[in-house]
Amino acid sequence: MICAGTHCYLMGGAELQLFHEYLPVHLRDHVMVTGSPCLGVCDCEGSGKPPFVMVNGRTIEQATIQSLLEVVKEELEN
Amino acid sequence: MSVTNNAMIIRRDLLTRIIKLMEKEELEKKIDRIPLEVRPRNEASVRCCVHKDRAVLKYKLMAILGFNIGDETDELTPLSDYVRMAYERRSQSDVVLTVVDEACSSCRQTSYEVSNLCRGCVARPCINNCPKDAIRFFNGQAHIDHKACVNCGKCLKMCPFHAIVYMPVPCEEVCPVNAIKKNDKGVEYIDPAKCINCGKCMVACPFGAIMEKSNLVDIFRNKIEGRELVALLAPAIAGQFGSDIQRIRSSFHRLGFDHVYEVAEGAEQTIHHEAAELKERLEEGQPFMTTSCCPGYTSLVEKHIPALKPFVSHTPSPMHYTAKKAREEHPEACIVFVSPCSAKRWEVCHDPYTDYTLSFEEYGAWLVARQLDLNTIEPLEGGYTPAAEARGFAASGGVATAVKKVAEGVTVNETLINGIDKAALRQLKGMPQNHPHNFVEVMTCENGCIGGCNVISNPRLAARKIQEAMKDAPDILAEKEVC
Repeated sequence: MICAGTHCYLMGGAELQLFHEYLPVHLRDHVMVTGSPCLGVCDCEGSGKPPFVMVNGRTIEQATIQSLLEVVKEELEN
Repeated sequence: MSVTNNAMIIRRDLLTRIIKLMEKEELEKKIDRIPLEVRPRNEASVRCCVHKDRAVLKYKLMAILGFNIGDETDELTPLSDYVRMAYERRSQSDVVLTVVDEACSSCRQTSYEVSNLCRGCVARPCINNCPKDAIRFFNGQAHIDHKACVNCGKCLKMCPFHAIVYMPVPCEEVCPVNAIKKNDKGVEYIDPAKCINCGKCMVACPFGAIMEKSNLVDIFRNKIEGRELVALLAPAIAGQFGSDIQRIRSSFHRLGFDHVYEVAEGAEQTIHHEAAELKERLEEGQPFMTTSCCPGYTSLVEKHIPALKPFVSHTPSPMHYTAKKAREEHPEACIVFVSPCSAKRWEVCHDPYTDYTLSFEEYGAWLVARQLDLNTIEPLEGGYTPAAEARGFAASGGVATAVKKVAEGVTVNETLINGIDKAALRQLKGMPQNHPHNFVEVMTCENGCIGGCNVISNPRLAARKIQEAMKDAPDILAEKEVC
């Protein structure tokens, strides 16, 4: 779940909206990518910096396409 | 490929902090703390130490306050003094890009270098192919004599180990007009006589050493003084925040703007006038006409390709038409153009109807500072819906498509210049002699305005959003009031 709140969007989240295109073909059927209104994480002190993404309940801060790919692969292996 | 990078994120963070303080009317009191808050003493620095980082941040903040870094007369002047001066000033120069010399890393000018991957091979094709005999062997490796090297790059192509690297100076590499060069201290300097304000250097610099001079303080001062604020939204904004245009319009009211216009409204007039002008010129026997709505391109012609000037359309830009209408309806208001790039910022300085520029980044930072989320803002109902073709101006090909559609009695064949780089510059220079088509659309940025130096979204994503905004809009030829 990729935060599409304005804060995340401005701080690099705009890029993540294209995440599904970067998923390797063999993983596409196993991952559901959705946008989300502000996840509300940015308001919590100590939660890290935007952009935020939730992967199976895990909150990823300062997410990039590359860091997300890693997390998604980890989650699928588990 | 990702378009956002850390230098951009830092700039946006600084913008947000400044706006937060302005909203609380605490800017003068607290601005000198920003560098300390962003780079606390015991945390890692990006450059050599936190003190250097803080010095760079100070100068970046100075640019956000609307000053050229070169304006500094005393290094000890605190930011709070600049805040006072910013609130007192009534005008700014039209120089929109400024080099933060503290941040410029004085990239090495050398273009080609032998890396330590050189194996000192027997064949030595680098030596055999060097036309200037500029390669020497010692310590078992090749070395380039930079006094003799002419940067032809043959050695790089020939090396079987890929041991030779090309090291560009990123800002100079992207500048299509060679306007940015090193001064005698090795720091980059932008020559205002050559610069077309495209902002490509600002995007390219990996040290974030080039900043745009902002009008944020001036806009806030006008707000405090009680002047009405008018926002003119460049068509490219529709692709920027993953939100629809009605929500974006609504958000400007939340930020304190009194009136909001889509510049696509003025684009309708540009389309009709440009089509009429094209027909007239072709009938008069002129072989072709180019667009004029991109100020980066018109500056390019003015400063670098005077021979092309007779072929540039005289039709004013969509911004001009929209600003004129806004000025007629709100004569006393402060008119702010919400812009995708620094070239438009320059145009705003020269247009009689506009006062200030708010870049897409600054607008985004303002939303964040106010904790407004576009997804949860109520969309603004009603208002004028510009034609689809006018909204299409934001992307490369949009102007040509629109003019083609409304032009009557002429067959329009278009050439698209999608981004000005050195090759496009050569093509344009040759155009007075060699013009395959009768209409030439020129966009300084690749992809058009959605690829401008202030955009938030990846242009691919933005292009899709623009398409969506076009679907909701009427056809340009549909019956409606056109002046």
